[in-house]
Amino acid sequence: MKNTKLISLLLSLLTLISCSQDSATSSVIVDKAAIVATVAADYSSGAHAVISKDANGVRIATNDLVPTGSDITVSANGADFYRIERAFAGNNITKFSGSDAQTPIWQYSTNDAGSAVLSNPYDMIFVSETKAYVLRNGSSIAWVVNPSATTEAEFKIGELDLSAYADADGVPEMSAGMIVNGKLYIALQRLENFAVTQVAYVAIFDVNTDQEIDANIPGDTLMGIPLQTRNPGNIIYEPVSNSIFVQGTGSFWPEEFTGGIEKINLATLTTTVIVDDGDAVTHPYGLITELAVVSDSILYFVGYAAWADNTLYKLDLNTAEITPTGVVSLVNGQISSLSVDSEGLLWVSDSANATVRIIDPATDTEVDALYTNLNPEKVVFVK
Amino acid sequence: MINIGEKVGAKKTLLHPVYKSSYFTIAVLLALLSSALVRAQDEELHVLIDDGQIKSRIGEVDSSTTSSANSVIEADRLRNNFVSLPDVLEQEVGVQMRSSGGEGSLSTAVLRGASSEQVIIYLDGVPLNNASGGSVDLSLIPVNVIERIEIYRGSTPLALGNPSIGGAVNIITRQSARLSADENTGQISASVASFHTYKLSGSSSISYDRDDVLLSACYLKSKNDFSFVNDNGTHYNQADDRVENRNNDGVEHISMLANWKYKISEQYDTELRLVIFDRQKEIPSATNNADVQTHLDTRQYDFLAQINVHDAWSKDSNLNLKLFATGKNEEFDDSLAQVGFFSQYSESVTKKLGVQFYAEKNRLQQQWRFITAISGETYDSESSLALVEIGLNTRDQIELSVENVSYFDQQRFILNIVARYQVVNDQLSSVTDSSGAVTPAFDESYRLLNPQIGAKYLFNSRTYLTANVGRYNRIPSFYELFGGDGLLLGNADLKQESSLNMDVGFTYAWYEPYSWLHDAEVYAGIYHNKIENLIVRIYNGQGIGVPQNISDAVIQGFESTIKLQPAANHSINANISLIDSVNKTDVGSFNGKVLPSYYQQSLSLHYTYALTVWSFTAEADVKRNMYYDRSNLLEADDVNLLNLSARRNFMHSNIDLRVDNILDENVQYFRNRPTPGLSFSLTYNHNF
Repeated sequence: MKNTKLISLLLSLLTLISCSQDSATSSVIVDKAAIVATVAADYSSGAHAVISKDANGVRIATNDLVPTGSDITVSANGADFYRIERAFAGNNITKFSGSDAQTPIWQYSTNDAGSAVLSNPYDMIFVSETKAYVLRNGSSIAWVVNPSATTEAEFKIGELDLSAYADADGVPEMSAGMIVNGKLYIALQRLENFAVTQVAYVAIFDVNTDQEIDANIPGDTLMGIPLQTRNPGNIIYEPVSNSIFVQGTGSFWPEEFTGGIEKINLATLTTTVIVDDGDAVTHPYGLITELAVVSDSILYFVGYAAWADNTLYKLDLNTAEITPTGVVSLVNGQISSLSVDSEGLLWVSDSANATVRIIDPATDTEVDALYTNLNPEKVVFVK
Repeated sequence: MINIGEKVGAKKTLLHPVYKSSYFTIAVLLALLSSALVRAQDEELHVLIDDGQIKSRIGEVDSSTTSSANSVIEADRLRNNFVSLPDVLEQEVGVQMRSSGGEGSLSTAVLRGASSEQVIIYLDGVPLNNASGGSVDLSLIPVNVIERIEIYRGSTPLALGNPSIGGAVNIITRQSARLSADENTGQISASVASFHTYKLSGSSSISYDRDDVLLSACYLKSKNDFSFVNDNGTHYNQADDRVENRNNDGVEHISMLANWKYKISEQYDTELRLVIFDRQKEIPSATNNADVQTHLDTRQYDFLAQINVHDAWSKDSNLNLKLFATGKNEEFDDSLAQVGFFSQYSESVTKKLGVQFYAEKNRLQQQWRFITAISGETYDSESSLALVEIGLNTRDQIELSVENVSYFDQQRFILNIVARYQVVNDQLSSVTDSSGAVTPAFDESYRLLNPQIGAKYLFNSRTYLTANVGRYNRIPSFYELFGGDGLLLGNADLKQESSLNMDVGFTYAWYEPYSWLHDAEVYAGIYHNKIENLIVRIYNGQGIGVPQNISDAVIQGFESTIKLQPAANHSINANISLIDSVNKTDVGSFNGKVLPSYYQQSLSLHYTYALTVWSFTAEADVKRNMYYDRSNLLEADDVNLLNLSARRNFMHSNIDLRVDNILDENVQYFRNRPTPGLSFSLTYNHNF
């Protein structure tokens, strides 16, 4: 009897342990495919490409889907992806299913009706299947939208007012966003007619109420978090350290090294510059233009030394060591974007060779390369 | 040793002696050889041209001897109705016009598939293309100032300096009625047309003793509020499409021409000509918003003074000396950031001054022609977007060209050999950025050698075979070399684009071959152009563009013109053009693709039926297969245009009614830039 009870207990324990392991495994949903925004080298056209695995597990690229103008990017949520046409394309968003990348589900404009101003949508950040935010770089107002809307009238469901951050050109240039624990963090470039002259910010909103949250930064009249680096492009959350990493480019023209990589501690809302791009005399990496967070200790960024001279660098946060990648094509090349998939692989947009290169951060080696015909600009993943 | 198209870097180098150039030497030797062959012939001259006398004016292209594939638009097609310069050029074989909107909108010419930057537009033999940008906006030139238009496809005659890859369009301005053999000394014309369009023009010609004066003025105003379907930027969402009128595409345009010719003596005559254009053009936004106030104002003057010397040092030795000056001021105002992405106000001033000397010696069986020209151009711009301070950019140019025209086989066979040598020197002044850093001034120089050979065999005056081969170049523009604002960088290492052009053509004419056919003329030609070092602006992942010599290309085609006159009061003209091109480049998505921005097949038909007091015209223009992009992913819609007109003639006046674009197509020659659909115009002309 005692033995039976012990065996039952052991079996229960074993079951409990295996269930826990199964839960841990099933919480990571493997990407089904990668969606790549691609553009012609002369910016005369654009399209998207799909990189998926065939029956043998070999990655294949299907290119030049649904051609359009060149000023495009992509975003994804679950099984769907969204192609965003910016200022010099259509100023719209088109929804596709990851299983049918050639048939638009819907396409809606992001311009304000009757306005001459181009909204220039930059990013789409998702709360759920029925709520998302559209960051409109050409406006002071971000839209709250319903991605499941079946008519255009149902698409826009609210607004976030960021006009407090507007500078002399009238808009704050919202560039990227991230939702963490019910809060939306929006990076604001605050460029004045393209000039990088103002302090950049990260504004915080409650995704349940769409109200701005005051970060209560001492001495600052604005509610957001002022950044030490300028011209933010990428904003990425790292869960282990509960931090957001922000990449700041500084200025291309005139060349000014006011960027870097900045870490925001979400518990204290304090910022730390972990990589400074240097100054006019000393700038070992050039401007810092892209960022990917592989783990709590490993980051990758792109150093922009010159127009056709970009290098992928690996940063070990534990040792503070920064090393250039061992992948030859990604040294002194042209790199448009960095993305990390569900398996922790780094996807690099090599726009010098119209190729997406997949790097294993553990070994810093290239594990795959997919030709996209047009130059890759942004990679996202659908489930 | 100088190679053809040698580019000299920033270092100063000594000018190598021209005679060391192998190509120039070959050209000169050929010319001397043909000259020797001519002298060796002991032929009785059967003159197919007038005893060596040139029909054209001194310094103009001699149509009887030129082997260049060409067409001429005479004054009668430019008068008495509501047409624009782009409209008439569009009807010519080998020419395709691209317009960005309604009346007065940017309109550029593509010639045999060559881009508008590769086509030189001349005004009375003086190039209009600027060093800053390259293309000429042909909507700026009203037809009222034009006497005739000569189009040379693929090869450029010597009389026109600055030979170009695509060919040349020479716009010849009007002169007095006496010199034009026009029985009318004056004309007033008034037009009303769709989209709130009004045009008023007049000219008056005075001839007295040795003086010939022509004054002409034209005023055009249009709201260009044509209707079109605005898809709201959402191609896949027809629910938000709306039919609306075009907003902020209006134009107001004033032009004036003054021409004074004075015959000093039988040997000397002079000409002074001044043309002024003043245009205010509204620029519509991508959203077609009615509140947009963006506009582009252009003011341009072109001054020409020339003197002709007939029989200068011997019989049939003629000289022409030209002094020309051009000034162009452009103001672009998008202060409210309604068209572009940033609030922008910019002003640019281009000034050009030059002198050209032309000499010809005409013997019975050969002619020698010589041109030398010197010009200097300055470009100054200020922009609110500029984060740096840029001074004056200058381009100085020297050309030295010689042509030998030799006649063989009783003057049936004409051989043209041309050698051109150009030296171009660009200077960028120092640049100071907002942080005070100074980039010192630097120079770029080009030395270009453009030889060309043409042959023409005359079966009779209207039936002939032509062949041409020649090398042509396009020097990079200032923007390509030195950049613009911020995102548009320059590339001082750019080589010039160059092309080896070859063509063969045959023209055959019948006079009354059949009872039902009064007159007929057929032209058919094929051409093959091999272009190297095409300049394309390439962008990196951060959206910053740098022009690069990225491509080679082959453009080849077939063109044909058929002119039929079944009876004296019927005429039918048809133009067919088939163009094929292949892009050869290391850019994978461009390689093997068709070059963009021209239609591969085009057909135009023109039928006129003239009665005693009435005449009726029908025109059809069909175009197929154009890509907007180099990757050939974005295909333009086909073009199907149908126009009708009717004219009632009175003794001293006429009334012309036109219906254009009957099928109401808003053609987009530039992507997302619709042009007007169905339109009407009524014109009243009075001649006196």
